[in-house]
Amino acid sequence: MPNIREVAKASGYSVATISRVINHPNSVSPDTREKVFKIMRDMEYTPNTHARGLALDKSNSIALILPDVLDMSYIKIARGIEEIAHQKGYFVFLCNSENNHERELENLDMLVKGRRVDGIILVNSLLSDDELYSLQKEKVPIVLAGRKRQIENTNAVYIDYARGSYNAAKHFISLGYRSLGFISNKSTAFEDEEKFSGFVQAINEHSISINENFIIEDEKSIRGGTRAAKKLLMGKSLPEALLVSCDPAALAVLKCLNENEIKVPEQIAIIGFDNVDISELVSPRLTTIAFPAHKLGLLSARLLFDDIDNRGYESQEIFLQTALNIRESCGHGRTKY
Amino acid sequence: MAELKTQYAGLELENPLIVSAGPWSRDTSTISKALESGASAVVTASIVSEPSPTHCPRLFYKEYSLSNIRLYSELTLEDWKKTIGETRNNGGTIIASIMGESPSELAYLAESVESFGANAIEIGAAAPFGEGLEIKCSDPEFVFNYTEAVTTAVKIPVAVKLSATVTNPVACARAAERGGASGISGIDSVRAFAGIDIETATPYLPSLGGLSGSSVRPVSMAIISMISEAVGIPVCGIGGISRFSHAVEYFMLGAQSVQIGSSILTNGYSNIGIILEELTAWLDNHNYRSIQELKGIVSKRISPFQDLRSDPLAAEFKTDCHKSDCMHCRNACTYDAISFTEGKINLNRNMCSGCGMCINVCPEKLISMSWYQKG
Ligand SMILES: Cc1cc2nc3c(=O)[nH]c(=O)nc-3n(C[C@H](O)[C@H](O)[C@H](O)COP(=O)(O)O)c2cc1C
Ligand code: SF4
Ligand code: SF4
Repeated sequence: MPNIREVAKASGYSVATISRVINHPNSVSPDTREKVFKIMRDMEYTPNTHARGLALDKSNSIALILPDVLDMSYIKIARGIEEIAHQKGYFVFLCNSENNHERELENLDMLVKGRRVDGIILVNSLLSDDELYSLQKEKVPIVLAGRKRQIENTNAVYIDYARGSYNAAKHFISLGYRSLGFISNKSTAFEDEEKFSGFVQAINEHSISINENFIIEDEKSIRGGTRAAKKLLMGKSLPEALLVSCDPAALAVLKCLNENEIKVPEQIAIIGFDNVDISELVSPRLTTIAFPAHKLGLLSARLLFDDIDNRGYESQEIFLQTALNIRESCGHGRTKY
Repeated sequence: MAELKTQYAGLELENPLIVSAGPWSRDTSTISKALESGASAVVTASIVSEPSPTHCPRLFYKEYSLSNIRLYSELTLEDWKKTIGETRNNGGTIIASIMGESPSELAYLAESVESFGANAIEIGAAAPFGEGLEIKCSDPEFVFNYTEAVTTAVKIPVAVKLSATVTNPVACARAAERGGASGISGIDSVRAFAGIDIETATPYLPSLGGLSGSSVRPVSMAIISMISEAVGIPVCGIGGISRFSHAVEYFMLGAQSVQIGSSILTNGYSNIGIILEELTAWLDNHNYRSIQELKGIVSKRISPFQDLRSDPLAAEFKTDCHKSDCMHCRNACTYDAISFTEGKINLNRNMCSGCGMCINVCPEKLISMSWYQKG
């Protein structure tokens, strides 16, 4: 049987549209609906919309959908999940969605239809509420990791990213900086919206004005950080303190400033996000917002297995905090706790 | 024989000696040693979602002070299922200590340990290190939120353990009570630094850590005396208990039970049995029928500083002292009331301010205080 992507390709519509035709036919124009249904019939594609357990016989495997397998923090989440799965005697299928909504839908479609797994953990999922509802109808145990629960009765473990950047910005302000900048990740992920909103909240609480030139958006990577730093350096002035949404970019910014003989933290203070292992090996040691990625993995897997094993708990929403690891780049002076 | 029965964390206990959270209650074997030695219940090393790595060495002991850089239990939540189950099968009473960073995480841990069979839960409010700059549990609102999240998530009783690193322990204790706690204990170890080997310029421990043992007992007693008058639920004293008399002090300040930690490392588990025997004998000798009779009997003799009204007192020597090689009392007196002349110690009561220091330092116990109107 063909998969949803092949249907999408043959029909010329996106996977998301095909998915909507299947789950919420009324949200699609009758024309499109008819076309898609016809192609589905021609290709002998049968969406399995009826409620059912995923794997009828236990498959002893679960799936993990990651937005990007090269991202160090996601790998730590995967590690936590694998530890629990291993103890339980389960395999973990790893799917990569490339930060792409369509890819995520495709992965899900294959997993759900193929009935290959007993449960699915979606990390920083891009699914819409409607898509989550239809997934829920499939009676597949799922856990949303890294994202708030938008719809009732789903398990979710998420991290208060907003509080993380709020605390970092407050830390800057408490150290006396009044001109702050922010390098954000270019994406539609919930995580990145939250990071920015926390920053803005702290700024507003202290009635500090934002210089638009100090707010730069670029790719969540070393390359993105380098580009953002160059852009910043082209401007007339620099902010006193800069929050960077991910450590790889923050490290790239450090390097760039170093090459231009701009001293951190004396001329510009920096805080990163993620606490990647190498962030404390550079000079100045990078102050960064650590988020409990491994723990997020452990808890997500525990919730999934509670569900698979039918422990009868109500679905849970667990919420974790970030921690500010104060090192040298923020200008606080070394701290020991 | 005096009645030792008491309550903590909603549990009826055979006696008031509980083993506190720490490496001495790390797994099935340590917990069963604690119970065999006479403890009425054991609080587990703190169960967390993600155990942290251990460091070597992590304990430093000197001059009755223990410093540690050990955070929480090293067992996983899954391991604790087995340990709690085994302890319950052996008939032991086990209080699961849990620590987490948010109300929802604590609620999840609480549900888990309840399903493993724990008799009660003790929420560890905070560790004195590894927390970052702000100690979250200093905020009564935070204490209320996590206590309420846990008490609504489980049916078993819940106690809250307070940290010494808070500015207002009464507000925190009240917040825990409002949140539905059935017991309050305190304290956890106190944020401290172990010290330095100056010859090699090396810190004894490579990070700030927690102080426990005899030196924290006065810190804890201050907190227990404050909170035991402020809440209606049973209070449990923790910190520096190695003798029965220490436990009696906590009872007289209002605690109904105590927890023993560090002294297990210096005196062994068997010391718990000795404390129990000596406590019973002491109660019998003093005609106390139960430890409840001791509860808070000294609290009313402790006043707020601003309300103190004291009598005019001055030092007084019981007999003459000729010890020219001692001089502790003279050194202790910054008011120059004590001198050594004509081959003996002389006291000028008019110059004595009644500070009481000489009494503390006299090895022969030759000095006391008595009423003295200066003139
Ligand atoms: C090595 C060590 C580990 C400890 N671990 C924990 C813990 O996991 N959870 C907790 O609530 N308290 C922990 N504590 C604190 C003790 O339970 C106790 O509150 C403190 O040490 C004061 O009592 P003590 O003087 O009798 O030891 C630990 C103390 C030490 C010395
Ligand atoms: S006390 Fe025991 S565990 Fe600790 S270092 Fe000595 S021998 Fe090893
Ligand atoms: S401290 Fe006591 S023993 Fe020593 S000199 Fe004074 S009175 Fe004598």
